[in-house]
Amino acid sequence: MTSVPGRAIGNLTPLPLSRHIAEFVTEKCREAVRFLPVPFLLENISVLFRPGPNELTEQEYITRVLEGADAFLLLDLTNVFNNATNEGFDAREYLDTLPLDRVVQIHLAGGLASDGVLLDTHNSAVPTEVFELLRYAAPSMPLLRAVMIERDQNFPPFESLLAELDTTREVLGAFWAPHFAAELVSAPAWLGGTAHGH
Amino acid sequence: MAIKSAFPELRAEGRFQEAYARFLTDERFRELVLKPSAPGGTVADFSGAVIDRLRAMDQNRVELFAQCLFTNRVAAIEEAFPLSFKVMGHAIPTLVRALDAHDVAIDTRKYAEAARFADFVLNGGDASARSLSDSALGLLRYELIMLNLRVRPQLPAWPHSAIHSPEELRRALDHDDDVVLVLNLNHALLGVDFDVEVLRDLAPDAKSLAEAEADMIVLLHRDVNGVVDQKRLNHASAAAVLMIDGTRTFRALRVTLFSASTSPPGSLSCSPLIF
Repeated sequence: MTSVPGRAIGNLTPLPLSRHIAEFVTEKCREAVRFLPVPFLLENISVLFRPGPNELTEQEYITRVLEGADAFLLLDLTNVFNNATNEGFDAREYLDTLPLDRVVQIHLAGGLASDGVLLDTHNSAVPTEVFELLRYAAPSMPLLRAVMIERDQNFPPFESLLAELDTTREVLGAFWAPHFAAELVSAPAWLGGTAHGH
Repeated sequence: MAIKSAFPELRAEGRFQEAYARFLTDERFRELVLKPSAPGGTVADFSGAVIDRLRAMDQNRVELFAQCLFTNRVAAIEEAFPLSFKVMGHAIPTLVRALDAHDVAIDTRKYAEAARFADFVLNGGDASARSLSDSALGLLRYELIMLNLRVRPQLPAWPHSAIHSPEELRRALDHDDDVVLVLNLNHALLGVDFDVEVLRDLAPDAKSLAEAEADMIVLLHRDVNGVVDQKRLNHASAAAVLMIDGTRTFRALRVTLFSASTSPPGSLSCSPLIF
């Protein structure tokens, strides 16, 4: 959520993880999927707090929406890492229960720690732990087509940015290319598959 | 994502979201909600159930998030109006809060938000805006015009009165006033022999000049090899900008510096071409 009628919040803000809200969001996404001639991707956000009631886990919520709307996932691994740190859960267990076969793009970034709380500020280097999550999860993403490093401020020397790209390529290099050639189990129409009716 | 639905559950959720959005962006409302009272009590037309849900959230994290939202808005103003930001300094947060009290943001994209802020200040939105010097207001007007040229106004979020045409900019440049002098300072490639020590002597107080050297303003700077580095502070411009006040204008500063530049060789190395 970023706004309500007559008021903008100015940032992505978590919704309650309820069945009603999941249904509502799914229906909105269905409209977008029907209307758009390109794949529709939803991104997981960084969360500092959650308004209740939370009847579902975030993974259940995301899975419901993506499957219900036949949409895909833009997985922000830094947000997973930040949320795991801030909420005290295991990031790998979280990823294990996400529909990784729907991930088309990954975002990586570095943030800021404020009193032990990680903020998604895009102003520092991608943490090693996030690259390790990439190494862990990417092999389970047959539709993965892009990885982007987000950096909005506090820019380092250009060589440092290139070094982060090199690290990303090194992490992905071992397994990413073969997936392009592999038979896709859930390829949507825009990838030449048959499983989804776009 | 606002909810408008015939379903009672979603209607209730939509009402909660109105309160939730206000809770995150309205400091006074947040204080009202968190004011000790019996569970189930209403606040500002929101039901006790809605208020209880807001109270159940992690308030330390909510406050941190709210502060981040506020900081982002101030940063957007700084990016859009760097010189004005420097001149207005500590008044900016007060002005932003005054703007919030006056009008709720409906579009927080950075340039739209900055334009809304400028419109509020230039139209004397509240007492703190009206207390700003003419020079500061002239500088903000100039930077607003420049923003108009840099970024196509994003209607309808931009206030109509904050939209300026290139013709208005041309007219502004024709004026031989303080704002134009700031413009020259901002955009001229200053000679490397410009001596900031001269400005140090003229600066109203040492603290102001220290702030000028705090790497707050990104201006064009040419090094001894003639290389322009936009990331480096132009001390001369920053120091001069800080001299804007009710008693010293850029026009007066120009006269002072020009007079100094005619002194015997070695006593001053600033270029009169700057002014």
